[in-house]
Amino acid sequence: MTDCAERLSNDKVQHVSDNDTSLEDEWQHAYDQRKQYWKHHTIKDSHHSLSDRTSSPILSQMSNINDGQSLHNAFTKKAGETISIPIVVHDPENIVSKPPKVDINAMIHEFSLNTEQARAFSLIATHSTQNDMEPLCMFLGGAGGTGKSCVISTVQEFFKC
Amino acid sequence: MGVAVQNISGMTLHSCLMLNQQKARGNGGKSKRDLVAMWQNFDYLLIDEVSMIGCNFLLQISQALSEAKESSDLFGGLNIVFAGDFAQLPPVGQRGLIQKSVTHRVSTYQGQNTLFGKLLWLSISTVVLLKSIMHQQGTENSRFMELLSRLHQGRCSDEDFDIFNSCLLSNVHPDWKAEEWLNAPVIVPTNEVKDAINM
Repeated sequence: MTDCAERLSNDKVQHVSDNDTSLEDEWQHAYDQRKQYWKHHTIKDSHHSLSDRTSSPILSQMSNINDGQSLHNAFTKKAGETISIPIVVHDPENIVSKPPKVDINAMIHEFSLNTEQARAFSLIATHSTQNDMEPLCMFLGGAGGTGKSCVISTVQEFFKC
Repeated sequence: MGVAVQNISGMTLHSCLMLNQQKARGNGGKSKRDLVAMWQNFDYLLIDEVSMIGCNFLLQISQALSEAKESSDLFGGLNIVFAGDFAQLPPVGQRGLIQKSVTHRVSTYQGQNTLFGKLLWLSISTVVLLKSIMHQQGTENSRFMELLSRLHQGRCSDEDFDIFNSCLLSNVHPDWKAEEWLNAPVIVPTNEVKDAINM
């Protein structure tokens, strides 16, 4: 549609008469193409549709309830596979007016957390230092002795500071 | 937030959400104001031993938090972190969060709430699973650790079965009068066993 509009504005000599169907054909073609594209797009991405919605800023409010994809992904992941949870890095623009008084990395070191524990802890700690984040809704799993309580006490210590 | 976090640690969910006073809260009375005041300065809620929370209870938690934060968002828009191991104790008298949802009970109010609770659980967006065992580190424990992890998954081998059997009292025949057993605390499941040992 914009193509046609542009062409019309660029090419001022073109006049449309009642029995001229060339533009109509062009529009019809563009319309068909768009329809085809959407059809294809929806089928291809149907299984992603929920996560797509989450990333869309407009619909993010509505996506509070999802289909448990995160839990499913985590539990079906085989051992040794790399974890795809995005670690939120410090974005200077996002940090609240009061920057964290404590160094997250220093705390990880102090409580000698391993990589997995550090990931869990920094997810929570970094989340708390950033503005305008979606409420955190998180599950920290692991068999007995994997150090869940250790992460919890680190988080407690972090919030005390 | 600091001091507040300290205060809340160790509270049960029932006490920190005043779940036992829900009826009184309905008419916007004092306890509702108490609840709102109590949660005013909190942004994070950490729940341990999540395996003991049932679907209906999770819904109750979310509703109480919504009341406390005066927000209709899930969990009152609070940041919430669940920790736990689903191989541990299941909830009492409720469907667990990881159990399959049942749809044949939706004709009852209770059954509908169960489904809502399950949906709440599924709305978790961040998951971290800890894999490496921190408590029993060291090579001398590795055999025991492997055995425990197989037991955790319910995948014990015949060899594991034999190891457990070899630890049975009836196979060990401890000499209760011996020095090493004299002051050892013995924990048994029933009075009968206790009496038999004490005899």
